[in-house]
Amino acid sequence: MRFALIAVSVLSVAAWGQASSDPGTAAAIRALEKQWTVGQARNDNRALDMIFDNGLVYVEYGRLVSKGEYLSRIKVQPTNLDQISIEPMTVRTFGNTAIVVGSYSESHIHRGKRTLQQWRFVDTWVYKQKGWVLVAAAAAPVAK
Amino acid sequence: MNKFVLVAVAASLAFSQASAQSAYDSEIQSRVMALERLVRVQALPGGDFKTLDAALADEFVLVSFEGRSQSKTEVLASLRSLDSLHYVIQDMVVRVHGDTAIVTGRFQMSGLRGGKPFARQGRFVDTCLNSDGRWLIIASVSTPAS
Repeated sequence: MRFALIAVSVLSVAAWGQASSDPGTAAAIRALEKQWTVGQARNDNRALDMIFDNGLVYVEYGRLVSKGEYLSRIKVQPTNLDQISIEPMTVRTFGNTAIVVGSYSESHIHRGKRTLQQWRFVDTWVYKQKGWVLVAAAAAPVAK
Repeated sequence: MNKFVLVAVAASLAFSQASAQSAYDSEIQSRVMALERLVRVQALPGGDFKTLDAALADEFVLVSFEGRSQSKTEVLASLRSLDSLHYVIQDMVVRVHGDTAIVTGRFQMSGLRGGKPFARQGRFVDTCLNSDGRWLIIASVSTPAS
């Protein structure tokens, strides 16, 4: 999920709920989401380590993985094999918590044939001592 | 007071702070688990919309098993269209981050909608928030388990 990046196109970002009263936070969260995608594309575990909380729970392809397991996979995965396009996302803040809801499309080439799968996700960020960190992320495949 | 006593006092304070934090987290975990059981095991199958309305934040958002994003109003309307629902959860874990709690677990549900049977099983990830002493669910994702 969110494999290597060839092209990222942020089509539009809307803020709603309490986020409308705090556009600075919403912008910071959107920047972190982008850092995550770019960091993953570059196998940049150091960057990802900074934005992932140690207690991160991540559900990728229906499997629950820890921060350590996730970073281990990123470290060895080949870069730029697949393509992901980030689509519209919304950021809502609740004090020290931010919820991001959005979707992305993932493109794979398997046996010469390109397949496309859209996913819808919810990411949860919490503001801690060193800033905003990702504490949970999960996505569901959009039914075709 | 010599250096060793100071070190011992500091260590003792740190230990008691850690114990207090652990006790706080443990209490929150129990409360959030109780909330999840109330919602998923009792209110959902029982069609208890008053409890659901109280447990879900007004800004609640669900990413459904089919990858749809739904507001609280849409979720409640969808639930009202069910004829029956059986819901089971297992492997529930709560992780506390101050006033935020992340709940993960597995679910199995089955029921009837419009006379037609349906069944799903997968994982859920919920985000709960302490709002003036009351824990509410503000976001939820359901996804097929691998």
